Amino acid sequence: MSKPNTTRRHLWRNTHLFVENAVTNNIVLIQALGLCPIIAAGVSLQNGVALTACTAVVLIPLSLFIALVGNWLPKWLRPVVYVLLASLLLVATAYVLETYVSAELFAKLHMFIPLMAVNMLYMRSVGVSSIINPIGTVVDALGSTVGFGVVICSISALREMAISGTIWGIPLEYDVALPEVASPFAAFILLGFMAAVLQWSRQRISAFFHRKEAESE
Amino acid sequence: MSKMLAPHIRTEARTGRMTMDVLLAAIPLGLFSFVNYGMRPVFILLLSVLAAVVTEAFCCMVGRRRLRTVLDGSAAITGLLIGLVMSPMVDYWVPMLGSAFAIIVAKAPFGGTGRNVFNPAAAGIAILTYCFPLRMFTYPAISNVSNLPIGMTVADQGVITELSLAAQLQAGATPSITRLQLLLGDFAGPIGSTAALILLAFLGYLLVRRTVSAWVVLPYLCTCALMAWLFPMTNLNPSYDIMAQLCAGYVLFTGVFLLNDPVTAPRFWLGRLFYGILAGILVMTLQRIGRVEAGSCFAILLVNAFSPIVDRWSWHFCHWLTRKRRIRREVKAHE
Amino acid sequence: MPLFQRGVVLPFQKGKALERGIESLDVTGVRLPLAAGDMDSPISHLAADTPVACGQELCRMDDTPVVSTVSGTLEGTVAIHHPLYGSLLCADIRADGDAEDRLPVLPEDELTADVILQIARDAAIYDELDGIPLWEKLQQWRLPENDLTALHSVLVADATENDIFGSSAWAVVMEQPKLAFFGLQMAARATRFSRYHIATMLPKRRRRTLKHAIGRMNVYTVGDEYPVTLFADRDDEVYRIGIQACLALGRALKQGLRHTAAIVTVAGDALPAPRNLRVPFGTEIGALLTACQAKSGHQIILGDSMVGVTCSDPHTPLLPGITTVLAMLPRPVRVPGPCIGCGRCAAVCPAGLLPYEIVRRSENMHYERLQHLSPGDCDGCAACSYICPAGRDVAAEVLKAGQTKGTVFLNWGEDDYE
Repeated sequence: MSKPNTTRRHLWRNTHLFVENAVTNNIVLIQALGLCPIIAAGVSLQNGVALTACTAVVLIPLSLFIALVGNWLPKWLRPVVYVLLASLLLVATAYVLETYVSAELFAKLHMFIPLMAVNMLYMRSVGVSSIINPIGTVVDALGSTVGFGVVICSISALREMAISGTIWGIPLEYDVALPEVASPFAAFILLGFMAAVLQWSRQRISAFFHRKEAESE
Repeated sequence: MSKMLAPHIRTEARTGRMTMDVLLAAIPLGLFSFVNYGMRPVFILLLSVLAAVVTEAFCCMVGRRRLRTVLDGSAAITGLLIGLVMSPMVDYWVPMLGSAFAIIVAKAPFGGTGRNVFNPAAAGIAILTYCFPLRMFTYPAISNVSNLPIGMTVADQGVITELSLAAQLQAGATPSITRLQLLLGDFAGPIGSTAALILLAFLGYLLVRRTVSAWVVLPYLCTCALMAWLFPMTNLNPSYDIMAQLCAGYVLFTGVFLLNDPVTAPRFWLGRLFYGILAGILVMTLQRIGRVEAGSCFAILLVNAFSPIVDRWSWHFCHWLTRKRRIRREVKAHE
Repeated sequence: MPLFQRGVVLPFQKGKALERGIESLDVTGVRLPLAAGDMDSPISHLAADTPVACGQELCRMDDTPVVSTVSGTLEGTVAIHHPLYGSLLCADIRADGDAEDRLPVLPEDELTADVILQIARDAAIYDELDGIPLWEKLQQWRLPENDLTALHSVLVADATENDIFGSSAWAVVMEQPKLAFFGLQMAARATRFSRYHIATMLPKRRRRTLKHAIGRMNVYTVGDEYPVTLFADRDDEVYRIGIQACLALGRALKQGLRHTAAIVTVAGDALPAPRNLRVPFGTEIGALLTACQAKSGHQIILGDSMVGVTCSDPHTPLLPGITTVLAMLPRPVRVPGPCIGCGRCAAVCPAGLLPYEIVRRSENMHYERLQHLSPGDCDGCAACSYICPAGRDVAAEVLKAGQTKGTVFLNWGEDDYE
C-alpha cells in the first residue's frame, strides 16, 4: 500500500467522521442530545450563535484533553473531571461574553451557559474520546459542534423571524408577530420536521462516504 | 381442508360512508349557526374545510401518495371540526391556519389517514387556542346579532361581545341562561358546540349507524356528569349546574366528534371504556382549572398519547382472564 | 338494535331454496377418488367396462371402503388435482345401470357400539363438516364404559349452516328430522356419550316443528352470530358431527343404504334460483351448475361464502366435505383502504384476538412482538375480513402472521399474497 493512498483513506475516514456527526448521525436530530438549550434558549439567532460558540470552546479542547490523558483516569472519574473542566472553561467563556462581546446577550443567556456544563453533548464525548485517536476526537468534536450549531442556528433564526419579525436584530420587511412560537412546542415541531428530512436523506449521504472510503483502500 | 380464505361476500359498510356520516353534521350545525349569525359562520366552515382538503392534497403530492386518498373525506372532517369550534366573529384566516396546521403537522408526517397518533382536529384547535386565545374566545352576544358582517374582520365594527358560558363558570359568576336556552344553544359561544340538542341527536344518529362506538362516548358523558356533580361550579340547583357544565365549552362537542375519531381512539371495548373515562376526567379538570376557558383539545391530545397502550393493556388483561378461565375449566373437566 | 356491537350477523338468503325442498338430480357419470397422491391404481382387479352396482365396494382408502355412488360401468382411472384434497387418483364411472348393493339391516337391540362403528365404516359415511370418515371420528372420541367425563361431553349434530346461502342442513332437519335424530342417537351409543342434541339456528316456527318431531330437549338453539362458538352449554365439551352424516347413519342402520349421495346447496348470484340437490358423490361441479342453469362467466366456489375455496376447473368432482357450491359473478375489484381503526374486527373475532394490531405489527415487521398477540389462535373464520369497512383481507394477514415463528417468516418465499 503506497503512502498517498493511506493519507487519502485517513482523509476520507476523518471527513466521514465529521460528516457523520454533523449530518448523517446528527448529534441533535438523530441522537437527540443537547435538546435543552435548543428548545429553551434557541429563540433568536444571537442566542444560537453564542451557544454554538460556547459549545465549540468547551467541546474541542476538552475532547483533546480527554483523548490524551483520559485513559489514565479511572472510568468513574472521567465525567467528574470533565464537568469540572467544562465549568471552568464556561466561566471563562461567560466572562469573555459579558465583558468583551455583549452584556445584553449575556443577560439573556446567563441561565443557560452554566447548564451547558452538564449537557449530554459533552458527556457523550467523554465516552467517544477515550476510544478513538486524538485527531479523530478533534474531528468528532468539531462535527458535533457543527451539527449542534447548524440545528440551533436554523431553529433559532426561524423562531426569531416568527416571534418578532427580525433576524439578528434587524427588522425584516413584514409584519407578523407570533410570540407563542417562543414556547417549547414550536421548537419540538421544527426539530421533528428537520429530523424527518434528515432521516429521509441520510442513507444516501452515508452510502456516498462508505463508497469513497472503500474506493481509497 | 385448506384454510384459504377470502370471504366471497362483504358487508355493506364502507369507510367512506362512515366519514360521510360525520360530515353530515355540517348540515344541522351549519343551519343552526346560519339562523343565529348569518352567512359568516357558513363561510368559516367552508373555508376551513377547503383549507384542510387543499393541504391534504398538497401533502399527498409531496408524499407521493395517491391523490384519491383526499376523497375519503377525513381531511374534510378535520377542517369541519376546526371550523365548528371557531367563534362566529373570528377572522377567516384563523380556521384556515388551524386546518393547515392540523394536516401538515399532526396528520401527514405520521403517514396520513389511519396512521396519525394525535387527532388532527384537536391539534389544530389546540394550536389556535394557544396562539390566539383572544380571537378564539371572543363571542358575539347572541341576542343582539342576527347578521354578522361578512367582511374580512369584524373586530372594529361595533359587534357587542359577551362572555361565554364556560368563561362565566370559570370566573365563578352565576349564569343567567335558562335550561331551555342551554338545550337549544341560545347563548354566546362557538359556531357548532353550543347546540346541545342538535349534538345529542347527531350522536344518536351516529350510534344507530354504528359509525361511532358507544363504548367511548357513554362512559365519557357519564364521567363528565359525575365530575360535574362532584365538583359544582355554581351554587345553583345541582341538576342545572351539571347541565351548564356539560353544555359549556367543548364538552359535548368533544364527546360527539373529537373523542370518537376511530383512528386515535382505542379499538378494544375495554380500552375504549378506560379511554372515555380518562378523557372525561381530564376534560372536566381542564374546563375547571385550565388557563383557557375551553381546554378539552389539550385533554384529547393527552389521552390520544395513551390510547395505544390503554388498548393493548386492556386486551392483554382480558386475554389473560379468558385464558385463566379456560385453564381452570380444563382442570375441572380433567378431575 | 343493541348499542354495543356484537358479532357478525349474516344476511341470510336461504328461503327460496328451503321452499323448494330437496330435489334429486340424475347424473350421467361420476368420478370417484380411490387414493390420495399418484399411487398405482388400487382397483387393478376391476378391468375397464366392468359393471358396478350402486353401493358396491371398489377398494379401500385408509381402511374406509370406497363405494360406487351410481350403478353403471367402470371406464378407467384418471389423476386429478382437487382444490380441497390435493392430488387424487379417481375412477370414472358411467351411470347406465340400476343395480343396487345394500347392507343387511339389523334389529335395533343388536346394535352395540362396535356394530354401529362397523356399519358406519361399511356404509362409507363421511362427515360433511370436514370430509373425515365418520367412524374414525367416533372411534377417536369413544369413551371407556362408565366413564365420568361422559357427563361433560355432548355429541352435537351440527345443523347450524351459518352461511348466507347454504341451507342443506336446514333442509335435512326439516325433511327427515326423525331419521337424522335416530342416526345421532346411534352415534352417541357408539361413543358411549349420554348427552346429545341437534344444534340449529332455524327460524322460530320451523324450530317449533323440529322440536315437535324429535323432542324439545334434543334441540339446541345457537345464536345467530357468525361464526357459531357455542354448540352446547358453556361448560360442556362439544364433539361435533354433521347432520348429513347422522342422516346417512340412520339410513344405513334402518334401510341398509350406503352413503352415496350428498345434499348440496347450489346458489350464488349467477343462478336464477338457489336449490338444494341430492347428488351422488363424484358428480362434476360443472354438470351440477349446468343443471341449475348458471350464467356463463361465473366463478365456482366450493364451500360457503365465508371460507369457501375458489375452484377453476368445472370437472372437479363433488366430494364429501362440500355442502355448498356457489357460482358467483366476478365482483368489481376494490382497492383496500387504510385501516381507520373502527375496531370491528376485534369486536367480531370469535377467538378474542386483535386482528388490526396483528396486521399492523406484521406490516411494520415487528415479528418479535407479534407473538404476544397469539395470532396462532386464529382459525380462519374470516369474520374480520367480512366486517372490515376498508375492504382489507384481514383474515389472510392474520393467518400469515400466525405462521411466523419469532422473527422469521416460515413461508418467506411463498408468493401467495397479491
